[in-house]
Amino acid sequence: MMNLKHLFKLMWNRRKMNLLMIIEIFISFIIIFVLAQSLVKFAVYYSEPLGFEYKNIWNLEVNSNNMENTEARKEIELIKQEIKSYAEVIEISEAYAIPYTSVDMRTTVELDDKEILTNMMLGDDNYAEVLGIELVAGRWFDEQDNASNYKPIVINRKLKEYFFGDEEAVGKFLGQRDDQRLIIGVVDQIKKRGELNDFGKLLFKRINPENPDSWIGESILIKMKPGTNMDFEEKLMRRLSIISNNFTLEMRSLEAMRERSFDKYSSIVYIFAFISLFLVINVSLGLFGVLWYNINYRKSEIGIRRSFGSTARSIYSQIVGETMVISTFSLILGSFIVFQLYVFLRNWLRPDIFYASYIISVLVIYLITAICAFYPSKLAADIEPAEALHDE
Amino acid sequence: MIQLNNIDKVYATNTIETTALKAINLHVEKGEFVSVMGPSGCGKSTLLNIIGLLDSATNGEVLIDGQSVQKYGDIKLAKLRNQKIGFVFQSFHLINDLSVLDNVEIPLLYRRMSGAERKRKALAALEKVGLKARTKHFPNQLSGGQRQRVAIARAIVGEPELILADEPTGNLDSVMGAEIMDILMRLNKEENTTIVMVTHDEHLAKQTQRIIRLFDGSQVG
Ligand SMILES: Nc1ncnc2c1ncn2[C@@H]1O[C@H](COP(=O)(O)OP(=O)(O)OP(=O)(O)O)[C@@H](O)[C@H]1O
Ligand SMILES: [Mg+2]
Repeated sequence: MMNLKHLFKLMWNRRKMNLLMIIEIFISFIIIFVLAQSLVKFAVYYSEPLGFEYKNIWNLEVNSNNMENTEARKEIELIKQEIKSYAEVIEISEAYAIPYTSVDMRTTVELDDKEILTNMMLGDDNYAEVLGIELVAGRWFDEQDNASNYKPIVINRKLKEYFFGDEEAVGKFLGQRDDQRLIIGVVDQIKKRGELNDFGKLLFKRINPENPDSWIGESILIKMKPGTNMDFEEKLMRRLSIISNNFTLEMRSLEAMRERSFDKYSSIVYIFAFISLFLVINVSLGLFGVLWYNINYRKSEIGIRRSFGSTARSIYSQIVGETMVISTFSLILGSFIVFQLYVFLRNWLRPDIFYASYIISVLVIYLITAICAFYPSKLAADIEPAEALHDE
Repeated sequence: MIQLNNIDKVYATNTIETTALKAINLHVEKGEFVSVMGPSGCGKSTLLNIIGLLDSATNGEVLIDGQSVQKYGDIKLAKLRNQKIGFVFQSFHLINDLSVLDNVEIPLLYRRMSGAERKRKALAALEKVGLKARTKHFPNQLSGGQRQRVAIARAIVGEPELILADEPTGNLDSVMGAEIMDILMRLNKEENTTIVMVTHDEHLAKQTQRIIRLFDGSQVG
């Protein structure tokens, strides 16, 4: 067994070289942490529920081409009626900024002196049913809201937690555009951009066809009976083009839209993973180089220790042990920086992802440095002591 | 104590093969003080390395206390090196990043011993070689002769039964050389320590009980 005091004395006497190693490992840690943060983010997002269904749902894009509101409302109602008349159709919903489209809406909401920019989506009373969205509290929009004095909103859990924490939100108000909005329901999360994204805070406003001031949707989501095929789509589109004079219509299945968006993001993930792999290999080679140099420098020390009774095993445990101490210093420095960053970027980083990637990068650094210290010290300790002492 | 049977040592590199030792047979009794002489490159250091279990022979057999060490594993060899043998290297081989005292303590680090005990023994060994005033110095702050004495202190600190000294007086003036010789003679007489010493100094060699002469890797007397 080696003596700890002796080891620390030796490390202190070599502080210049050890400081260089600490810096090298520190930089590697930061690189690994940034990579881990992004990869963990993708993994966590992927594992979380999407929040809506996309199978057997078609999206009819309806573009009113800047028609006047009442005219547009008349025409879209005709279109909706026609669609609903088919037996293949289970339910439809008029909506705005639906999943997998690039249309993003944002708005600022406030309560007391807290305010936040949040994502926004619009849907009519059938929206939750068509997309299979489940509410965690309260209800979705319905006729009761016609008589209400307040404009209703549904918010997602993240927005709810931001303003109300663990408290109930249904029945409370949030300010938006000088107006008080009544929260009538809370949904979990609707990952609008698909599995690989966290969509953050979100609120829904109601599309009410009976209210002439209401928005006109740009999508009609159609929930089809399973097994409905392309023939029906063609038939439907032909009929709709006769009914609709001014609207531009386009039909896509949500499934196809999802695939396109998933492809886009998964190729980002692949490129990212590839770059990560490249960087990790580079970082490992860098560390290996530094440790290899260090151990070569110590070859005579290894020969000396073995000449006076150290076993080869005791040599590598000494060197791996020293390297672990050095890594620990780097990690203390790295943790300090990373946690500072966390405090600074608290609103953008998710704590679970942050901690998971922190722990992963700490383990990766310990693993890489242990391997990079073990391998050359094993080479140097497994030769005859006379040989280790010879080439100087 | 030591027996070498038909030892050959061949250094093979990619380009050349050097025969450093050829058919060496050697027997050293416990308590003997033997010197090894011969021209430069004749294989003296190689011989000492093989006796000191720092290198393996290409052919032949090494016996320590009647036991062949051929089949010994790393742990057994390490234990023998630690407890039985004290080596003084021709080129000192001190650890430059450790103080004189820490260098001398090295053999004791691989034994069960308290820090205080270790320090006491190391100081005593340094006192024997006349370096007690230099314990906090680092090797590169010392003269060649002083380094040699540190190397000797490190070899004797563990009170080994066998001391292998490769030109222990090579860098010392005759006065200091005589003092070191004195230390070795005393260890040999008082502690019955077995000593094998490589030297170029006929005068010193004559003070030992026996001279082994090597020429071109072979024993010549
Ligand atoms: N590790 C090695 N690899 C290759 N050849 C070596 C090695 N060590 C020693 N030799 C060769 O073996 C021969 C004997 O070397 P050794 O060091 O034993 O000589 P020596 O008698 O101690 O010489 P000196 O008096 O100069 O110290 C020399 O020819 C040397 O070049
Ligand atoms: Mg020599």
